[in-house]
Amino acid sequence: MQTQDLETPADLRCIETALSRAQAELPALGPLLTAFGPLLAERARLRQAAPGWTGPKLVIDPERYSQGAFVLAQTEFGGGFEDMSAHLQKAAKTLLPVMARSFPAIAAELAALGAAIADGTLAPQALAAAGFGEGLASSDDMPVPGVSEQTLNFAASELVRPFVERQAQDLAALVEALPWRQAHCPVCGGAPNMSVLRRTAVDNEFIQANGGRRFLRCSCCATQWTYKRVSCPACGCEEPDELINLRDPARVHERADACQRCKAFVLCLNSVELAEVPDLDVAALTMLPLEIQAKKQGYAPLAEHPWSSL
Amino acid sequence: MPKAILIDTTRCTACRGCQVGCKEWKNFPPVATKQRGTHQNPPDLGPYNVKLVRFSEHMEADGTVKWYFFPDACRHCLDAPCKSGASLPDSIIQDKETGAVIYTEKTAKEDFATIKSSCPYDIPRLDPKTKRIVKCDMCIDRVRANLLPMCVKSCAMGAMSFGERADMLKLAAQRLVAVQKDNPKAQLCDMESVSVIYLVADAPNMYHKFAVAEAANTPGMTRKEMLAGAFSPLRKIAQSLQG
Amino acid sequence: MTQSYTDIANADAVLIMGSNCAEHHPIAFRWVLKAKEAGGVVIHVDPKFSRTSARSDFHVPLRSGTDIAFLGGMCKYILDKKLFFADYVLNYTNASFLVGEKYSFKDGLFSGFDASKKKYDQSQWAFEKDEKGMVKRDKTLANPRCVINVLKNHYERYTLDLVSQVTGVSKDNLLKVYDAFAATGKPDKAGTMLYALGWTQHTVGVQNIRLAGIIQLLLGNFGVAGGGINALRGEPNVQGSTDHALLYGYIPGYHNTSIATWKTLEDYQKANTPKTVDPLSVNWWQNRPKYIVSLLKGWFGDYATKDNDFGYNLLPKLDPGQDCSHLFIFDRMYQGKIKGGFLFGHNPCQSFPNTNKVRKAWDKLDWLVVGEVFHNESTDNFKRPGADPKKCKTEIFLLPSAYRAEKEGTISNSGRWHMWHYKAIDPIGQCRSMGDMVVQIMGRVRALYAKEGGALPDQVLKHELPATFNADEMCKKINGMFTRDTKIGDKEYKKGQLVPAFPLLQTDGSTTSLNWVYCGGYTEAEGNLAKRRDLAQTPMQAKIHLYPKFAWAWPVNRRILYNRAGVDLVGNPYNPDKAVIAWQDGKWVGDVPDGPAKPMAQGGPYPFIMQTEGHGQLYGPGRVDGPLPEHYEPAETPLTVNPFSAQMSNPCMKQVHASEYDVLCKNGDPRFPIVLTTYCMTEHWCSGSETRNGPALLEAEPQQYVEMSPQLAEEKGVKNGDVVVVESLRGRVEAVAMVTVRIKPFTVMGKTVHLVGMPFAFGWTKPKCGDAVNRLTTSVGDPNTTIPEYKACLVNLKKATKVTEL
Repeated sequence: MQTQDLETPADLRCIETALSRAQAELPALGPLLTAFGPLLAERARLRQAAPGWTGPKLVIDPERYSQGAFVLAQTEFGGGFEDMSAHLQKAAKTLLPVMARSFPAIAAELAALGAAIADGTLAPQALAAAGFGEGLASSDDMPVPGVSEQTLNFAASELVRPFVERQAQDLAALVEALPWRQAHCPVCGGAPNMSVLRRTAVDNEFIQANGGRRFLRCSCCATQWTYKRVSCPACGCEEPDELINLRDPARVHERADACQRCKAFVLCLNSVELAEVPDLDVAALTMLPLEIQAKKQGYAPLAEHPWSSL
Repeated sequence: MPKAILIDTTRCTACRGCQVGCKEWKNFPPVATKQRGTHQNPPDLGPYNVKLVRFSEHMEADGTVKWYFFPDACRHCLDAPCKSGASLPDSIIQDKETGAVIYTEKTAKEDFATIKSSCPYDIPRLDPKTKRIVKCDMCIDRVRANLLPMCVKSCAMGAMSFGERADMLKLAAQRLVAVQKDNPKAQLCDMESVSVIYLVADAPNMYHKFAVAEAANTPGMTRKEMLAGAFSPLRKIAQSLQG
Repeated sequence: MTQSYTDIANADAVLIMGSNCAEHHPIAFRWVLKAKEAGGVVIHVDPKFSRTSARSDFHVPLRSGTDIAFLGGMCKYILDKKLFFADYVLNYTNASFLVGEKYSFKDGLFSGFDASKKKYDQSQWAFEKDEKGMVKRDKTLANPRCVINVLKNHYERYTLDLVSQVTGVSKDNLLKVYDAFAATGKPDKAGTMLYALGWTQHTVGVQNIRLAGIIQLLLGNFGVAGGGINALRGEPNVQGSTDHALLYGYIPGYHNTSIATWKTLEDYQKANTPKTVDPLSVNWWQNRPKYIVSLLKGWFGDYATKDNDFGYNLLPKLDPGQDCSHLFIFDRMYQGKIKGGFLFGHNPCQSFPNTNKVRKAWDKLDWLVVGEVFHNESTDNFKRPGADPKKCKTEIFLLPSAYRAEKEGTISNSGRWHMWHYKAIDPIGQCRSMGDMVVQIMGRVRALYAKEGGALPDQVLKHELPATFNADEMCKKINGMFTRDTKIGDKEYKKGQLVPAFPLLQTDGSTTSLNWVYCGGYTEAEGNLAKRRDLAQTPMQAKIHLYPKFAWAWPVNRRILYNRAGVDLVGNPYNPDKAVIAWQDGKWVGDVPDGPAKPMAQGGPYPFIMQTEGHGQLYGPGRVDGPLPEHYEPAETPLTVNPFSAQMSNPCMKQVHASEYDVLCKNGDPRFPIVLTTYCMTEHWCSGSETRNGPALLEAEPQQYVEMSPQLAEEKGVKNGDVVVVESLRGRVEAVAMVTVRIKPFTVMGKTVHLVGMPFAFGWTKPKCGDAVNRLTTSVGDPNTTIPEYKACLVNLKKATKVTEL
């Protein structure tokens, strides 16, 4: 597998540059960018400070791995990221106010949620469970009065994500040299909601391929891995006539790679010609119109973004 | 954040993809050329050729042949002598964002000889039709749209890289170490003062007379420093005259 | 190629000879550099210092046309110093075979030469056989008639001194190359040889490659990763077109074109199916009858039955000895014996040798159909400088062709990878692909025939022709199908089902296949395998960059040919770190082996399965000009004596005679003392008829030039950039002098011999860019293939007094 390391210090700058460029280029998306931009930035800050994988050293069986058994499927304790609930109280203090400013409609709910987390009414473990979409979802009685289930799940998943992403960086490093040919995430088994074609510089003094390799990006832990270019990650179809890409002629580097056979699509940023690869969350955000267009045409994404349903 | 281009000539094979790509992107008309006994063509930079691959071949005493290639273009000096030498404030400007040195249409009002002689790399050329002074603009239109400069994009050999100056300096230092292993004379041409940095494996003058801005005749001073020193007061005089 | 491009990276030594790989096969050169980065040595032997030389470890200049002397010296060096891979040579090559007593070699001629016919009686070179028909062998190698001893004896004359004097390569340089390459004779080392037209385009072209093959056999470099003999083909799809029998002497799949004396299919099969009595020899060509019948069945469909010899008699037949290669075609055209024809993908009035003759021959056609993208020297020949269009009788039909990206189809790369390419955009205007043109034209001709009749009606009407051209459908037909429900072993195949692989092709008409080597490339389960782009491979395969799931390689997706020679008798790879195949737990792993049979130690067959006797041929009695390569000078040589023998040039050399242009200098002709070699260039493609239409490319390389050494320039009073006239006995060409240290004078037999080089991309249809260099070259050819000697002829040059072409 080839994973792309995210250099944390550059993350923030990258997000900011991408946001300001998107603001300038796509005024229509202004409100969306204003809402999610600060959230993405705050998440990056949290990710930078997060502890990473502190659990036992994992031993990966290359044979099983090459058959599609992702890293977390090979842990002794049954898979899943390490519990990060101990960090969530602190994280909530910075992240929830940012969210409140970004999403005034649920500001009151977020404030109530913040208070409940701070005073322990909502146990960090329960919060983490909500973040992973487990446990509280079916509960009739809201654990925090005045906070809707939807808001709780949204906030919790945003809180959990930086820790997950940081852990995934460490785990991905374990399998860097191993081949991975699946369409699901090599770290957590999640589905991709974004992809990118990157220039890959080969350390060779002769002709370089400028076509760019395709990386899929996990919707859950943001790990990126190489994947065969002309193929549908949902059904494996490789017939070029069946694989189309939808795009806005004005934005030639963005597209939705769709499969006519299985009706799935994944967003794709072709960064081969770009001087700088923008932050992929921001890039995905700017591709929301494309995502909507693809859905209108009857295609379904392999996985959603937090803003997909807006 | 200033940008830079690193040109690793040890990887260049003189395929001239950059020369042709540049021309195509700029939509410059073809120039009627003649074979003059070298593969280098057109013979020199010109108003319709702001990027040119220079060829130079040498035979060493033991009969070993060396063949060097140098994709020449504006260096986009951090402190550009041509800018200092300009009489108008907005004929030659430096883009804050990228550091690109841009010649505007107002260069038509500049004295070409002055601007040309101010350049330690012998880059500026006059467009006889528009009277504008012409050179590479780092594909500022592309760079602003987050696209690679055309020469870098078209380089199939991986000899050219574009990015943040800090990143390019880092890359340059890495490559220099690697190249120096087999080529002790390898160096980065005028790295501290330019945005287009050439890595050469041998003495720069083996590649091109103007590969580096060496002092022609002033001891202790580079030619560039000399030119900058000479022109800066001139500019002030010009400005004062124009009010 | 015995290997693939990706395999070059595995080499410990890369000998590039007769190729300017970096400039003309730039993508392939990536793999050369990978080998270099991994510690391999890259050697460039070529008359001129080029960009390939600049990126190699070292460059050795060689006088054009002396490759056999150079390699013969290496062969002697390997034998004298015992640097060969002894086990390999003994077990896998014919080193121990006894050469028959009739064989001899005296002063440049092998036994059996008939001087009047310029032909050998090849039967005199046969191996000695016992009463059962088995080739006699002496595994102690003591018998002086053992191949290895005959070989030693033959190259005894190729001493360092003599080779150096003939080739113009210094002894130091010879040793540098010999040492570096011969070091790959160790079991765990491999060396590859990369060549292109610099080896083939000589009157000894085939023997150049034969000798390279001999060296690779001695060093044990076949069947291993990073070894082999590797012809660099390229974008013109030379590999694919050769497979599908572009050349007149073959029908698709490397079968001979039938000749008039083979009156029935049985005659043909008998003459073309080799036999061996050795049970351990696979002798794969014994299967030829199945491929021939399947080919005929594919061509003639339901019409082809056992009773009518599957349509065999509808095939055109050559007279015995008839040569229809382009040298002879143009000779006949010059004599007015050819009325008209179709031309695709060629620009003969620019790129064929002795172009002055070709251009005049062209004038004699009544009609000509050309499929082209641009006007070029052949489409517009009647307007050429000095010609009067009004006097040209030829009616020319120019069919606008689709450009590469405007059509879909396959290309076969040098590594035999069958690769599909998709159409990017529709052709502009009325442009069509060649397939479409051919099918449409032939369809209308057949309609006319059906209505009005005509000459040879069965040949025109019985052939299966699709209504429209579809490249993917064509791939299916090339693969082949069952013509009826068939049971083979315990497996049943339905009518119309694709044949899974060529071992299932039949002689009874139950299968079709338009080219057996491609059979297996289109499957029921996975479709057209040329479309595969999967980089998956096992760790063992990954070590040698095998990529078995990327596209599909003939035969049966085998990436490295003769890979059974890459393992020892029990099936262990000679180089375990770069194993191609290995016998593990009762089966082969890695690449697709040359047959599933057990290793030799367990009674398995010999590894060289395409050879009748199963062994690599150090001694090869199959070529018309000798069982062992011998140095002969080019047809035009600056020498007056060939120091190797009294035989100056290849005694069997092909020559044509019809015109005043078919003349050759006498040996060492003082009027023409300079050797000319010709080549392609990076900025222009082939004859330049496309790329001269690209303004930025023309700006970068605008005009005909001639590269020469400073010494020659001084001798001739020529300065860099002067226009000179280069003359041969056949024509004159104006060119700009490019005086360069990249070309050095040679010291040959104590004399200075100058060499100049010129590209062939410039033609008169672009004004002032110069005109065809091939007006200088000779119409002589290799006796096996009739490939012309583009790479060496004699010229003189002087400063031009009047310039008309530039």
